[in-house]
Order: sequence, then C-alpha cells, then structure tokens
Amino acid sequence: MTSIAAFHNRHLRVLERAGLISSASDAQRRPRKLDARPLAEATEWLEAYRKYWEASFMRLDGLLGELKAAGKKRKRSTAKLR
Amino acid sequence: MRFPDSFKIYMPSDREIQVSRDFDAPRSLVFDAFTKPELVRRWLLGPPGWTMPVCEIDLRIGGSYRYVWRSEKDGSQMGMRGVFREITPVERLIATERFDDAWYPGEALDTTVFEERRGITRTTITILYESQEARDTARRSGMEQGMAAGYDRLETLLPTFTGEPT
Repeated sequence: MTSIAAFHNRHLRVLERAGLISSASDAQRRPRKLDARPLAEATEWLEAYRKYWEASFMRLDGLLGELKAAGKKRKRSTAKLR
Repeated sequence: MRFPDSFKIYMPSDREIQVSRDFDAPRSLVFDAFTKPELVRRWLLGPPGWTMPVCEIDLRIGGSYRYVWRSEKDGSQMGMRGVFREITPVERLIATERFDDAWYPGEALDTTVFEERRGITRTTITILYESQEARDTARRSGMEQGMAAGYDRLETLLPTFTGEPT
C-alpha cells in the first residue's frame, strides 16, 4: 500500500469513529455516506466553549495587569525605604 | 500586552479537552490567580449575567475546593467541587472536578500547567474524563449552556433591535 493510500484509509477510519461517515458493507466499493450533523454540533459547541473561555481569559488579562502594576509599586516603595 | 490569539482548544485524545492561552505575566502571578479565592472569583465568573458567590480553596494535597455560580437573572445555581491531587507551586496543579448536577458520569481530572518564557506564561488546562462518553456528554451540555447564555445576551439586545423607546 502506498503511504498516501494508508493515510487516506486512516483518515476515513477517524471520520468513521467520529460518526461523521458510515460505510456500507459492500467490500468491493465501500461507498461512504457523509453525515455532517455531528460536525455542525461539534462546531457549535466549540464556538460556545471558546467564547466562554475567551471572556474569562480577557478578565484574567486585566487582573494580571493590575497585579503586575501593584507588584512594581510595592518594589518601588521598598526601594525608597532603603 | 494581551495575547487573545494564542488561545487554543484541542482534543488530544478521545477522553480529553485541552485549552491553552498565553498571559503577559510571570507564572507566580498566574498561579496566584488560579489558586487564591479572592483572585479566582474576579475572573472565573461563568457566562455573562452570572456571579461567583462561593469560591473556597484549601490549597494542599487532599484539600478540597468549592465553586458556586449564580444567575442574577433567575437565581439558579451551579456548583462544582474537587480535591487537589498534586500541587507544584507556580508550575503545576492536578485536581479532580465534579459538578453538583453531574451530567457526565464520574469525575474528571484537571491538570493545569504554567510555563514561563521571557515573562510570558503559557497556561494549559487539560480535562481528562473517565470515558469518551463522559467527555461528549459534558461537551453537549456545555454547548446548551453556552447557547442559553447567548440567548440571554440576545434578550438584552432585543430592545435596541426593535427600536423600543428607552
């Protein structure tokens, strides 16, 4: 088997496991049927999940900026004391 | 500086979800932001319109943490708890997670790794579920919640769309 064919077969197996395609039991031709529904669901979920984390991480950016500024200020005031 | 484009979501295996993001701060600060309750409750607020009234963290191996989120709109609550399995200060945290209304079977194991390079900290959170089924159930319900939050936000925008007098 050429490496391209092996790669192609592996790709088909992954799609099959993910429920995206199903194959009929015709050993000669093995026609595949594409079911895009799980893909649409997964994409939708990913979008919602991404938005949730993105918003949280933006808040974390702000908080870290504040902590960094507070740390610098503290360092400066201790330097003055010395 | 902020690095919103560094944000990534992976599915490294059938049982895992991984989220990673870079932050412009040394990892000691990022570690604090993940482990000190007074800091965690400032950013881990849940979807828009939710607050985090309970955030307790007992940061020792075998110690537990408890988070509760509350919807300001209808008062509904969502709680989560877990136990620390490994704590390597500023580098790595491993803890279990279980939601009160556990819509996915079993517990999940969360590993959070903080890697610092030139003052920038890459934070990677990996959630390992007990099975692929558990991960996919968690994913599906997460999607529903995300969509519900989306509808809530839409509702707040609707008066503007319909041109209602304000």
